[in-house]
Amino acid sequence: MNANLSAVAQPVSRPEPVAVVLKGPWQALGTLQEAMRGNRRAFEQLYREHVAGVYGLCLRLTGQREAAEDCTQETFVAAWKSLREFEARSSFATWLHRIAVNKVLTRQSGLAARLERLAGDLPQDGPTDAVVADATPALDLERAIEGLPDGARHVLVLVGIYGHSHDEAAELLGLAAGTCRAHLHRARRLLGERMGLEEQTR
Amino acid sequence: MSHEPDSLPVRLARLPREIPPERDLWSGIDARLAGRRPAWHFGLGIAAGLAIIALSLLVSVEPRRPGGTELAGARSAAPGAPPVARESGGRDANYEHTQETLERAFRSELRQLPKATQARLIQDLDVIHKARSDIRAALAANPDSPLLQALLADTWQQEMEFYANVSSTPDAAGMRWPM
Repeated sequence: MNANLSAVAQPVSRPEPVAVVLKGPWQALGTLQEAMRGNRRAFEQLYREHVAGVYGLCLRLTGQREAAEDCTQETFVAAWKSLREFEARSSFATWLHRIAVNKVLTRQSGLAARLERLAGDLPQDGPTDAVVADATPALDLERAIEGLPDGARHVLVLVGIYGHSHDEAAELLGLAAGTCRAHLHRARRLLGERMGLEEQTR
Repeated sequence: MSHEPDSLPVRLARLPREIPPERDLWSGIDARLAGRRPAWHFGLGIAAGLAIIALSLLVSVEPRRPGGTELAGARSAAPGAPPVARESGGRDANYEHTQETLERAFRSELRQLPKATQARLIQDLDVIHKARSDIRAALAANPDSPLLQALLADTWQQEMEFYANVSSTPDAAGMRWPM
């Protein structure tokens, strides 16, 4: 049989549509675009991907679980409302972190935070017994960070844990670069004292 | 002897950056998102809207019939949009009253919005005004062009819809330009 003739005799059919499966950063980009079009499912997916990072930042900045939960929720609600303003000049995670820092600062400057302070449920200067008694070094460090004054803790978290530069941290917190350095120096000194370390500066 | 591996900066950098919350926070977020949509960039929406209108006119426009029936008047306006009088036929008192009312409501709503949103909306309104100005300039050179007349009238329609959208939307961040 003539192969060419056989080919001609076959009915012409359209090729099956090929499902394009996006992976890695392209998949994330697709999810982001879907969310920007108003797809809440896509936004939920973004939430699932980023919530641990945002909550971790909020928890360390506030030192309180409930406050961190509130700030995390506020962050994602604000992100949804202004999602179309995200212009990919930074990563989506960085953009979320910026919103989260703002939410924490707004909350802490508000009356609610002052009332919480008056209630005395946030240790300020001086380690608690739990910190002294705790034998796990990482947990010791976490608790010692929680006990730092707000300004010192904010800078330490952003620079020391999240790796922001002094300038970035100063911008995020609305501080002068010199003030930011002073906070960091104080934070390291206090932590060093509380952890029984020599003062470490870099 | 060096203490560098155990130095405070190193220990800080080793701490996990991600901490999952102890409870699922999504349900609370989702409840607050209901009824809201991400803010739409109006400039793009309006520009796209004008482009579609222009394109649809180019595709559907018919030569004027003898007797000079109005070209675009028969096209239906967007659902819910206020009636639009064609500029060529004059904008009657009702139309101007409706426009003024909507514009007043818009200005009033605008003051209650965040500064950034205000700036964006003003910018978007400027896009419409700029389009109208350009079309008028083109009409000055070619006053009998039915296409330009229709486009000019459509800028009024766009402006009215813009005002109506802002004024009737409880949260301006949730507005979308009808496409």
